[in-house]
This record gives sequence, C-alpha cells and structure tokens, in this order.
Amino acid sequence: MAARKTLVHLRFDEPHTDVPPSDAAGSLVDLTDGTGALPPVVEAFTGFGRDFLGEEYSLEAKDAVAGSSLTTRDCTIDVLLAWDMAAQLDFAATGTIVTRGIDGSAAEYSAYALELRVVDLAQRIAELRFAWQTTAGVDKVQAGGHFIVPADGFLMLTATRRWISSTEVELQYYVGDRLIGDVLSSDGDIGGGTTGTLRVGHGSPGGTYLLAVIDELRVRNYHVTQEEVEATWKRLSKFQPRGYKAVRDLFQPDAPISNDPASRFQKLLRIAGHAVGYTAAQAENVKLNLLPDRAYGPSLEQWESILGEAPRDLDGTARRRRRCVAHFSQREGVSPPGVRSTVHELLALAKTQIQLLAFDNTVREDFSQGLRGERWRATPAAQWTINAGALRVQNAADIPLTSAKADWYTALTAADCDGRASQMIAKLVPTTLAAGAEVGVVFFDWAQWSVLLFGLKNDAGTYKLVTEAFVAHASQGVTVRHTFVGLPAAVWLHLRQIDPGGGGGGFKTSATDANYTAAWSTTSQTTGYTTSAPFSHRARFQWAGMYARTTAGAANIDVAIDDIVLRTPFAGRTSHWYAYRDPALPGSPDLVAAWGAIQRLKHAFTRASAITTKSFLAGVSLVGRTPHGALT
Amino acid sequence: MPPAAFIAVTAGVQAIDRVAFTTPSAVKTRDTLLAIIASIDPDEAQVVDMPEGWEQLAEFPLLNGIITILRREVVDEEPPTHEVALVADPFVVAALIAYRGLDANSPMLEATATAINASTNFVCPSRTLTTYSELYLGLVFVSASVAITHPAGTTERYDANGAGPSRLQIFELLPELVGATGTKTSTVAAPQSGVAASALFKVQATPLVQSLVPDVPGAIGFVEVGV
Repeated sequence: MAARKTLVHLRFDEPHTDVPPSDAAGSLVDLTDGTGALPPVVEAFTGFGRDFLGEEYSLEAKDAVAGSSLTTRDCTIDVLLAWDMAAQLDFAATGTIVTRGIDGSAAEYSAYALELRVVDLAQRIAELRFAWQTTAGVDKVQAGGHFIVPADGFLMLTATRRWISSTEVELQYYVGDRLIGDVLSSDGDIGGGTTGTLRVGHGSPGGTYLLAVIDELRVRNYHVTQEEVEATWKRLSKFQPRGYKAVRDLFQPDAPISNDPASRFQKLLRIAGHAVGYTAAQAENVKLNLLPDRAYGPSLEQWESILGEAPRDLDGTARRRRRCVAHFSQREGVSPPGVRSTVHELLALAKTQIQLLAFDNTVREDFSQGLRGERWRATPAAQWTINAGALRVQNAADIPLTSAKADWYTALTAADCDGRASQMIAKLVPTTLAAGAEVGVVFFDWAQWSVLLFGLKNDAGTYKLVTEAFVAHASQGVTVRHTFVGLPAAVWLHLRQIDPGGGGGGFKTSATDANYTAAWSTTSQTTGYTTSAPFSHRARFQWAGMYARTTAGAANIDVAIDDIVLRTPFAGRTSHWYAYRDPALPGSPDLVAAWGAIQRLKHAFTRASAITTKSFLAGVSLVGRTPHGALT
Repeated sequence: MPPAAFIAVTAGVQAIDRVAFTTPSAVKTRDTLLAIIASIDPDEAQVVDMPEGWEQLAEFPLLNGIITILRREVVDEEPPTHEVALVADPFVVAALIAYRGLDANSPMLEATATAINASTNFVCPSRTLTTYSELYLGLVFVSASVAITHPAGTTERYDANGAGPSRLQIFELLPELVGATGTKTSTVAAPQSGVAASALFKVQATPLVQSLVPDVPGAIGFVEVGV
C-alpha cells in the first residue's frame, strides 16, 4: 500500500498579509498570488486565515519536489472556512476551494478539486462536491452533498475519494461530523501531472473564485473514515472549547483577569485549555476507535500487523476491519454456526446465505451434469459421450486387449486414497457388444500399472462376465465369473476389495495383495446380486472407473454406463469442507480473508476453503489449497 | 440526503410470465430499488405478484402499452434477485434502477403517463416540485427496437431493447427548483407508438449542519499526530 501522508497543509497562520503562505507539509514552494495581491490575513478560528472575499483572490504554488502534491487515486480534502453565500452567488454560484492542476496541458489537468456551490440562497442550501479532469482533460464534475449553511461560523468540510477502479470511485462528503453525501462515480479516469500547479480559491473544472475566509486547508493521499472525521470534529467543537473553559474555571469568578479575548492572559488560557482539550480528544478517540471494528490509520495497520493480515492497495478500510474482526469472531469454533458467524461478513452475506458443503466418502454419478472434466479423466475424449442422460462409450478402432500398448478406452476418477476397502458399482446397458468387445469397471494403480478389470465381454458370440488382473503390465489371466444366455438388457457390476489382506489395516504397498469379490445383478442396483468367490490382487490403486477394449474392428462397442457409486472409506473427502458463496448474490466478498479465516478455524489435517463455484479442476489452487474433484 | 444519487441500473430478464431483476452489487442498506416494467400489452403485462418488501407505486395501462413502477428499500440481507409475476407472457422490457437518498416515508409523490400514437416525440408530463431536491424520472416505452434520444438537460440512465420489438428509456432530472419542470420530450427517428410517463420522488431532507464559532481565537486546527 502507498504510504499514508499529508500532501498539503496550509495553515495560513502568517502574521502579516505580505508574508507568503507556506505549506506545513513541505510539498509546495511558498504560495504566491494568482491575481496580483495576496489575500489579506484576518483572524480566524485557529488564529489567522486568509480572506478571499471582496476581490478575485487566489493563491498558487508548484511542487517543491515534482509530484509531491499529486494524487490521482485516493484523497481527502479538509478545510476550515467561513463562507459568504450571498457574495458567492453574486459573483458566481460555484467557488473553488482548491484544485491541483489548473488545466491547459496534460501536466495541469486537475487531479482533484473541491468546490462549493450555492444551490438556493434563500434556503441557504449549498453543495460540496469533487471535480477533476480525465487524462484527456475532460472535465468531470461530480455529484456532491447538499447541506443547509448556518448563518455564521466556520465550517469544517471534509471530502473523501476512494478509487476502486477506472469505472468506480466512491465519494463521501462531511460537514462537521455529519455525512451529507455518499456517491458512486464512474469517472475513474483521473488526470494530472507531476509538474502541475496547486491553486487555492479559483480555477477548478466547475468553479470560479471562492468568496470565503479560509482558515486551514489540508490534502491527504488516502481516504479517511467517518470515525476519523467525527473524532476531529469532536476535538474542534467540543473538547478544545471545554478544555479552555476548564482552565478558565480554575479562576474565581471575580478574579482580576482580563476577559478580552485578544489579551495575552486569555491567549495563555487558550493555549493551556486547548492543550487539555486536545489531550482529552485523543483519549476519547482511542477509547472509541482502538478496537479493529472502528480502527483506522496507524491503529488499523497495527492490528493487521499483529494478526498477520496484509492489506492490498485497493482494500478499503471496511474490508480491512472485517478481516481483523474475523480473527475474533471464532467463538463457536468450527461448528456450522461458528463458521457462519466468522465468515459471513467477509463473504458479504447473511449467515443463512452461506452454504456449507461437506462430504462422505461416497461418490455418486448419474451424469446428469454431463461428463465433467474435473471428475472424470476420459480418454480418448471423443469416445466417451453423454447420451440420454448416461455415459456412452463407442469405439472408433481396435483397442487391443493386451496391456502392451495401454490404449484401452478409460474413464477414470481419482479414488483419493490408496484403495483400501474400496468398492464400485456401475450399470451397463449394452446396445452393441460385438465379438471380442468388452466393457466394464476397473481399479487402476497407474504408478505400478497394476489393473483389475471386471467387465462384460462378447467371447465369440457368448456373453460372459470376466475379470482380468495385470501386475506390472503382465496379465495374471482371465477368469470367467458368469456366462449369460444372450446379451443382458442391463447388468450391474459390483467390484469390491473385501479386506486389505494380511490381517487388517496398515499401509499397503504396491506389492501387497488384498482380497476382492466381483458381483453382478440383472435385477437392480441394490438387489439380486451374485457374488464370486474372493480372489487376490494388488491392494493399492488410485483410480477407479470404466474401460472398453476389443480384439475386433471399429464400431463394435456401444454401451451406456450409468449410476456409478464409488465408495472409498479411506479417502480424504470427509476431511474436506467448503463455505460456498453463490456468485449471483450481490455484494463484494473478501474471499482472501474468508479463506484465511477458514484456515484458522479448520482442524489440522483437513482441507477447507471459501469458494464461489461447486466445480473446479483438481490441481487448481483454491486460494492456496488444492481441491479433489467435483463437489457433487 | 440530497441530491438523490444514482447508484446503478440492471436490465430485467423475462422468462415467460415472469421478470427477474438482479440486485446491483453496489447498493447499500436503505437504498431504493425501482423496477420499471413496460410492454405493448396493457392487459397481459400487469403485475399480479411480487416478492415481499415490494410495493407497486403506479401502473399505467394505456392504449399503446403499459408502464408499471415498483419500489423496494434495500435491507441488510438483500436477496440477489427479485422475480415479479405478470398476468401472462407478453413481450416485456424492464429495468431495475437504484437510487440513494430517496425518502423512504414518502416513496413517490406523483406520476402520470400519456399514450403516444405514431409520433417522433414522446412527451413526458411536467411535474411540479414542492421541494427543490425532488427527483424527476422520465420513463419512455416505445413499441419498437429503435434508439431513443433523451431530452436536453436530462441524464439518461437506461436505454435498451427488450424482448420483441420494444425499448425502454429512463432519464433523470434534478431541477433544483420549486415549481413546474415543464414537459420533457424524448425523440425517435421515425414515428412510433408507445407510452411516455414521468414520476416525482421525494428526497431526504437537506441536513442543517453545525458550524464552529470561536470562543477565543486560536484553536488547534488540523494536526498530524492524532485526530
């Protein structure tokens, strides 16, 4: 983030008119008159000010270091002034408070300007508004905020600009601590150059000479929060006057002291009193605005530092606060209500709008959403299609039965574990299964090329259920499990690892065998199964799915596959959960912060994230974490 | 707080006899959403049902079409979409426009509409402001997919085709004057038919602010340390 700083601070505290005003922030050289005479020094709220009434006064200066008063993004302009509305309207409705850039060239395009406009003199209605020019010099006068101007006194005017994008700029206007305007502008193209001029009292895109006494003017390169404006107003309007009164009241009512405000004694009382008031205001500010829900500026930066939150350049204060507060909003831990409480503000949602997605270790697939690439690795892709709501495999050429070329057709999904105790069911509906063709389910250890096939095969005109195992590419032989009379209309295949072998759990290596069964049914997915005797094969596999192969020519396989159930008890799916935000919902979520909050909440050795899609590719980082397949 | 601030506008999407609006992401609580629905069919395009929180401010079924104005105040848990049911499934053009600063207690002051027959001028009625800050919205429905030029001195906020031959234009005027605005005329290149309407909305009261009157000169002003 760019360092927060005051770009310009004109105190106008010169004791004599002929002394050129200087910039307390050091960005500008001494200001000179724009019209031939310096505005007269007069008494003002903070001591002295400059009187822009009466004639066409303005002050201007170049940067002491080129660009030091320039900001084309965030900025805050505060000013203390006493405005003569009648005189203003008599001259021209809109007066310029300040403009950085006085037009005429790219370097002088206005990067920021603040204007005061008389809307209705009789009702004393005024408008405070921003203005600037684009990088092409086009005037962009912004909508402002209206307010009723009191009959006398000095106004504390604050205008903040928060640049979000080239088409979105947030503007807020305050008089005192009162928010009078909250506007969204699409004019994010803001011009201005490093060698431009800052001018006070005249020359903004929409305004001319200002008829006012200007006491102080400050420009900062960041947008301030309402809390900061309120704190400043309270200091000026309440605490400092009370401090003065408190010091003054230390004296007895009849004490022989001068009551003349211009007397040295009263000035001494003022110094002491305002110092007391200043201190009280700072204490009040800390009391109200120390905690991260209202912190701003250095306090907020400290919170972020403590909590390990690194703000990005375009993060607004509200977003930064929510991130910090989320660290404390974890009262209910990783329970569903606890997760909702912690992340709902970060996701810009009501608690009830967050969908918490968690999974068991069973994957079900009915292909109603098509053949999703994030779940199924289907090769060759053209041979696996969706037809009438089911997966359809058709061959385009020979697919050798042997494993030597490893070019069977396969549609595989990650088992997300080493395969222990896993089982799979699939429904086959064959249309064409010519002699030599075979379609079925497979468990695949890709690393070791150990494969277990269980499929329906046309063996020279006879339809059989067969299993064949490969270990390191070498076939262990084909076993016929069942012979049909004719081609079955549909058959459910159930391949299952019934025990890991070797007496129970423990890590299974590629050389460890397990016991399997192959079962089938022509009745339904859940009934009518006939189960083979257990047989042995390698325990470990990482992929499960369907295969097709043939010894014959093309166009001899056309089989529909549907209603897949894959259960992998030792998979990591149950350790995954997600807080899903529907992207159609309005609002600006802070997904980075939501992910961070979830990482703090979740149990160790689990995976969780904040997401805006229920479908993503394995290997794609979800803000730093990798998901495993589709979530439905 | 005046002036009324335009926030965003989104197009309504028709699905048979329903029109769906997406809530703009930039809205804040207490902003006002105005749904404008227009159609050539004054019978079938009437609104029969709308979600909770919506109210119908005006409906102008005229010979050459219909314009309906609905209103809602944005709440903390604002739904992402809003769906309005119509009598049947005519071709409809619709938009959702969001404003900030409108008076929630007095949603709409007045509105009228005029049927336009085969004309290049779509004259939106004059409105009489009683408070300087009131918002004038001109609503123009043309039963053809043609470009509409908004009146000089106004700000166009929406101008797009709908399903079928139809177009809706919304423009705003903040006169800052008490009294009659006068009629506001949008124009099309060739004579068309449709409806021209205008509506007047009340804005929140202009705030009276406090000033600083020095008791003694020489206060501490803006500071670099603290507030």
